[in-house]
Amino acid sequence: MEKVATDIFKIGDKELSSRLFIGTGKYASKEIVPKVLEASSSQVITLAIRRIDWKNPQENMLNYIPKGMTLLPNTSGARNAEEAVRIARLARAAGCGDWIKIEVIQDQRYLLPDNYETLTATEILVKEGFIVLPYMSPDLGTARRLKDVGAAAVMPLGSPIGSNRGIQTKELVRILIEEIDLPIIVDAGIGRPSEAAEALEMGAAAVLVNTAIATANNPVTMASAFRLAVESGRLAFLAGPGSRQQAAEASSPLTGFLREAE
Amino acid sequence: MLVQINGKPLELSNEVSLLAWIEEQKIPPGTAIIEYNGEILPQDRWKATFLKDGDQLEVLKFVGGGR
Repeated sequence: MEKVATDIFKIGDKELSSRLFIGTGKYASKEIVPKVLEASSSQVITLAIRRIDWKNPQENMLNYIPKGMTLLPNTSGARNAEEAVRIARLARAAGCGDWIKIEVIQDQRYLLPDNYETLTATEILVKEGFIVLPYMSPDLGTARRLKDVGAAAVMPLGSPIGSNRGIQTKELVRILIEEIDLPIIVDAGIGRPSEAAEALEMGAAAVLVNTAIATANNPVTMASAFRLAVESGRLAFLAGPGSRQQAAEASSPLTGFLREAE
Repeated sequence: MLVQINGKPLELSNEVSLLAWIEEQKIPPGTAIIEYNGEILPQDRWKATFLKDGDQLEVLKFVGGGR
């Protein structure tokens, strides 16, 4: 287990040992959020910004996130780069740190990101000193440009947000992992721990999971399951899986005492 | 005077600082984010900022979010 102890990765100026990022949306009760975070061992937590609810003005997600976590506010709700930049500046003004997850979406059925506007927002915010993690449709050209303008990581989707359908974009994500020299964090669509393990086995740096945990019958246990899956997938990646082939290859030699080798 | 708060008109009868108004709404000051006439207003300026006719205010907070 030596490798795990020293297996850290860096985003911006932070060194992370957990490769599981957690979202805080969709929980039936917010009181469970701190327990989920503890069970997940996650160090990076996403949240969003919305108008105050006048019926419950004291409610605030920050109250449920233990100190010491890296907050990754997202720009959800933004439909263009300008709105994403506005939300990012607000999040920073609120004392949330410099990390921002860019999310620019116009498509309301599949919630697929607008890569062009995402790139524009990334470029502006990097210049303002933000650590920018853009959520994107897995496209090599866009990922290269995101890296060129200074993104700290790239967050391709596995399948539509909240769909729990796993990594339908596997081949495209694999290409990003191979070609882009930045942490690739699979975001959106991961519905089962096995799918998180798959992402890590492929060489993804991390995964972001929300719906799969928040909508489980037992979110705390599911958070533990994801923690183990992510660790397992990462270990498998570090171990280097054996090669695949069509036909069988016996694990012990077939020559032996019953008959002569053919 | 009439101000717009989170897209809705609100009639205020007397002059009030932003900080006093926030406290009146029972919003813990440390948790709100305010955009005042399109500009982010840091919390240390809430006390000296007095609401005036036509002001546009966005009062925001952090909510659960992710994927």
